[in-house]
Amino acid sequence: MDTSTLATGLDSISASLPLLGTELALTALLLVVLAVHLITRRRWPAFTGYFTIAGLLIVTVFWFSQTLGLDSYTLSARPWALMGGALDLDRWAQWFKGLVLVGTLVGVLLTRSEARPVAGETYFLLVALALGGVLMAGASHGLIVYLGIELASLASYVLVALSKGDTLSERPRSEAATKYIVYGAVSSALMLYGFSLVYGLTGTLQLGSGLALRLADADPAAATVAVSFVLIGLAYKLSAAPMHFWSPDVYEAAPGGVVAALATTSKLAALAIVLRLTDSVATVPTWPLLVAGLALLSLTVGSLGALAQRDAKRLLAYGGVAQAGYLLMGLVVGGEGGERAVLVYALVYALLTLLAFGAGAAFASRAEGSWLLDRWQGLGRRYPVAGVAMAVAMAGLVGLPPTAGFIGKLAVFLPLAEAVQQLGLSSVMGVVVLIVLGAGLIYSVVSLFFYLKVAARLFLEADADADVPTQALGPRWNLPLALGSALALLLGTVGVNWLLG
Amino acid sequence: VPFSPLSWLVLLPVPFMVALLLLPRRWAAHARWFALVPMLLQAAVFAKLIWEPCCPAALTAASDVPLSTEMFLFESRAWFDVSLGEAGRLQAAWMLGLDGLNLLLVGLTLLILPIAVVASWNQTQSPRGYFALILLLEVALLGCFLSLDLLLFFLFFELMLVPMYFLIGVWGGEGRRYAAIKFFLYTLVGSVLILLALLALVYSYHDPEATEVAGLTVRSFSYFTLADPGNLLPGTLLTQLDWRLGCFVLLAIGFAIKLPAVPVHTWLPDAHVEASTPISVVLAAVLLKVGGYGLIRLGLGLFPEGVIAYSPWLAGAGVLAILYAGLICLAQKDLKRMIAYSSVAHMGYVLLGIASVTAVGLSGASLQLFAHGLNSALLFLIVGVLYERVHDRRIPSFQGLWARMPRFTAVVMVGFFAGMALPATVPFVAELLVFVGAFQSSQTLGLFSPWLVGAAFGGILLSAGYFIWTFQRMFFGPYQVRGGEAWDEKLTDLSLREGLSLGLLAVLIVLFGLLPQLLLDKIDPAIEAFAQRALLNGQRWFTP
Repeated sequence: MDTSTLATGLDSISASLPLLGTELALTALLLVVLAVHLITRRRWPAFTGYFTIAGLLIVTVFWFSQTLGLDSYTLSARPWALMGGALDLDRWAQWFKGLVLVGTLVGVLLTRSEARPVAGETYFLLVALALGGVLMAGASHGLIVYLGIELASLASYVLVALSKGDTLSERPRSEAATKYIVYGAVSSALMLYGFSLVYGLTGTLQLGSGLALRLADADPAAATVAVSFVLIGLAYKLSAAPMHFWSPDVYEAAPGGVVAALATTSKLAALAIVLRLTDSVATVPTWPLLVAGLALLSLTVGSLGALAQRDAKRLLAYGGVAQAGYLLMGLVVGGEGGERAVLVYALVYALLTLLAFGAGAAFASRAEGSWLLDRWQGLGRRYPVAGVAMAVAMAGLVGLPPTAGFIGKLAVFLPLAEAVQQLGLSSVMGVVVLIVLGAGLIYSVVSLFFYLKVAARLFLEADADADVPTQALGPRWNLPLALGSALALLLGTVGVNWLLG
Repeated sequence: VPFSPLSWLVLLPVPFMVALLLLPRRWAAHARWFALVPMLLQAAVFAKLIWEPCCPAALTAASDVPLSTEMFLFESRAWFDVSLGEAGRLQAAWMLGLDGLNLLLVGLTLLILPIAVVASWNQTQSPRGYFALILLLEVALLGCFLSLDLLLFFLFFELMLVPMYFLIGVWGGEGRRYAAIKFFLYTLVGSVLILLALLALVYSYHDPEATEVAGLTVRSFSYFTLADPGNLLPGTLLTQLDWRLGCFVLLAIGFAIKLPAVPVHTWLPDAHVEASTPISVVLAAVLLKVGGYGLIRLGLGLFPEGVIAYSPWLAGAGVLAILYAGLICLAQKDLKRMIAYSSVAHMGYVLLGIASVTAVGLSGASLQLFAHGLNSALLFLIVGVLYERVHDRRIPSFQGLWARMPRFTAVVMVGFFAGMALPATVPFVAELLVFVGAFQSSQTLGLFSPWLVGAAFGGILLSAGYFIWTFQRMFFGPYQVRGGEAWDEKLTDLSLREGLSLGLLAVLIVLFGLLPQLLLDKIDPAIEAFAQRALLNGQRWFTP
C-alpha cells in the first residue's frame, strides 16, 4: 500500500472517531458489563441488569447527540462517510440505530423480569447484539456488513443456546440453537459468496452509486446471481422466507426478553442493509423482482404458517415472517416514497412487536412462564391493562385503525398504488407491483385470523385456571404497557403528521 | 379555532369512556350512567342543531367549501399533510359535515344507542368494559356517518369492528366466538376492497387550488376533491371507464357485505342470533346502515357511472334479497333469526332505491334506512322481552300471548305491521318512494325492466305472510306455552323501562308514518341536488 493512501486512511479514521459516539460507547459498555458481571455475580446477581439498563440509557444519550449533530458534519465531500467509507452516518443509519437501541433496552427490561433468573451473561450478549445491530445500521461497505451480521449472529446463537432451563418449552433449546447456527452458517456462506461475486464483477465492495455504475456494466445474469446470494443471506437475518425456518423454533425456545430483542434488532438492522443495498444495486434490472419474490414468499409462508400455532411466541415468529414481507414491500418500488414507507413501517413494527412481547411476558409471568395460548385463556379479563396492550398490539400488527399499524400499512401501500398508476399494467413491473399490493391486502385479512386469536383467547374464553389467584401486575408492568398502548394509538391518530413526515 | 358542534357530537363520549376504564371496581354498578349521560348530552346537542333554523348562510364555516350550500354544518381542520416524494403531497383532514344524506342516520344513532344502553340496564357481566365499548361504538358510528374525509371515514369504518367484535364475542350466546370472528372477517374483507378503491382514487385526483398554491401535485382524501370529475389528473387509471367500473365494483362489494346484500349476508343471522338483545338492536338498527350510506355517499357520489352501468345488477341483487330472504323468513322457527332475515329483505329496498338513480328513489332509500332502523330496533327489543323472561324465542313455544301480555301485544302489532310496511308506518312511505323511484327510472332512464320492480312487489306479499302468520301463531288462540305453569309467573307484561323504549319507538314509527314530511322536508333538497349531480356526472361517461 502506498504511504499517501495510508495517511489519508489514518486521517479519515482519526477524524471519524469523535463522530462514532454511539458505536464507541456501546463497545465500552460491552466490556464493562462483562467485568461488572464477573465482579458482582455472587454478591449481587441482579446488579448486572440494572447496570446494563443505565449503560444503554447513556448510549442513547450519545445516539441522541450524534443525531442532533447530523447536519453540522463537514468531513469531506461526502460528509456522512466515516472510516474511509466503511460506515455511513446519515438519517437512515440513525433511525435504525435508535430502533436497535430501543429494542435492546426493552429486551433487557423484559429479561430482568423473567419468572426464573437468567444467566448474567445474557446482558453482555444483548449488548453485543446491539453493537452488531448498530454496525449493520450504518454499514456502507460489504466487509462491515458481514462483520456486523456475524457479530450480531454470534451473540444471538449464544443467547439462544445459553440454557439454564429457564423457559417452559416442549422443544429443547439445544435443538433451536442448532437449527439457528446451521442456518446461520449456510446463509452467511451464501452471502460471502455473493459478495465475492460482486467484488469479482465490480472490483469494489463499497456500497453506493459507484457500485451501481459498475454493476450496470456487468453481465445482468451474473449480477443477478451475485445480488440474489447476498439477498438470501440477508433474508436469514430478516427471517424472511425461504430462510425463516429457524425463527419459530428459536422464538419458542428462547426467553421472551431475548426474543423481543432478536425480533427487533436483528430484523431491522438487516432491513437497514437491504435499504442501503437497494441504492447500490438499483442498476441490476432483476433486483425489484427478487425483492418482490422475497416479500410475496414471506407474506404467504408467514401468514399461512401462523394460522395453526398454539404458542404465542411461535405465532409471533410466523407473524414476524409475514411482517418481513411488509417491511420489504416498500423496496419493491424504491424511490423516496418507498424508502420512507420502509422507515415508517420499521418504527411501527418495532413499537407493536415490543408491545406484544411486553404484554406477552406479563401474561407468561402469571402463567408459570408459559406462552401457550391455552394457558392464557381469560387472562385478559384478569389483567386488563396487559390485555388491552396485547389487543392494541395485535390490532396494530393486523393494520387496523386507529393504531399506528394502520398508518404503517397505509404508508407501505401508498407508494405501491402510485407505482401501479405510473407503470400501468402493460409493463411486467406494473403487474408485479399490483400482485404484491393485492397480496399485502389479502394477507392483512388472513393475519386477522391468527392475531385476533390471541386477543380472543385472552378475553372471550373462560379462565383456564380459575382457582389460581389473581396476582395484580402492579405499576412495574402496567405503566410501561399503558404508555406503549397509548403511544401506538396516538401515532395512529394525532401523531400521523409526525410519523409520515 | 373552537370545535364545532359536530366535533362535540362525535367526541363527547371519549372522556366518559376513559372515566369508565379508570372507574374503581366498587362503583362498577354505576357504569351505565357513564354511558347514558353523554348520550343524553349528545342528543341535546343534536336537538339544538336541528331546531335552529338550518340555513347555510348562518354557518360561516361552510362558505368556502364546494357543494356547501347543501351542508347544514361543516367543519374541517388539517390532520396531516405529508410529502410523497415525486408524487407530490398528500393531505387528510378532520372533516365533518352534516347534510341531507346523513342527517337521519345521525339522528337514528343518537336515538338507538341510548335505547340500547337502557336495554342493557341490568348488565352485570363486566359492566365497565361493556359500556365503554358501547361508547366507542357510538363514536365510530357517528364518525363514520359524519366524515367527509375518506381516510377518516375509513378509519371510523374499521374502528366500528373492534367494539362490535368484543360485544358479540364476550357478551354473546353459545356460539359467540364463531359469530364474532365471522362478522369481523366478512367486514374486514369488505373494508380491504374499499381501501383498494380509495388508494386508486387518491392517485387519480388532485386538489387544483392547493396544487396551484404549492406548485406541486397535492392529493387529498377530501370527499369534495374526489367527487369532482374536473379534478381528475390526466393519464391516470381512473380516467378510463373500465378502471372506474372496476373500482366501483370493489366499493360496492365492500358496502354490500356490510348492508348486507344476498349472497354475502350469511354473517348477519349468525351475528344476530349470538349477540345479546341490545347489541342486536345496535347491529340491525345502525351498523347495517353504514353499508347503505356508504353505497350512496361513496358509491353513487364518487362513481355515478358505476351505478348507472351496474344498475340492473344492483336492482337485481335488491329484488333477489327481498324475495329470497322473504322465503327464508317463512321457514324460520326462531323468532330472532326470522327478524334477522327480514332485515336482509328490507335492505333490498335500499339497493333498489339506489339503483334507480332518481331523487325519489334515493330519498326512499334514505328513508328506508331510517325506517328500518326504528323498526328493527323495535323488533329485536320485542324478541328480547320474551327471551329475557323465559330464555326461549322459538315461535312454536308460544301461543295466545295476547291474553297475558296485552300492552306487549299492542307494541308487537305496530312492529309487525311496520315490518310489512302497512300504511301509517314509516316503512310504508319509504318503500312507496322506492317503488315510485324505481318505476320512474325504468320508464325515463331505462336502466332496468319494470318487470323487475314488479317482482319486488312479491316481497310485500311474503312479508305480510311471515309477519301475520307469526303473529297469529304466537298471539292468537288459547294461551299455551311450552314451559307450562313455570312460565306463567315469568311472562309478565311490559315493565315501565321496557314500555318506555318500546313505546317511544312505536310512537315514532307511527308519527313519521303519518307525517313523513317532517323528515323529507329536511333531506329532500340535498338529495335532489345529489341525485341530479350524480346523474349528470355519470352519464357524461357514456356520451361520446
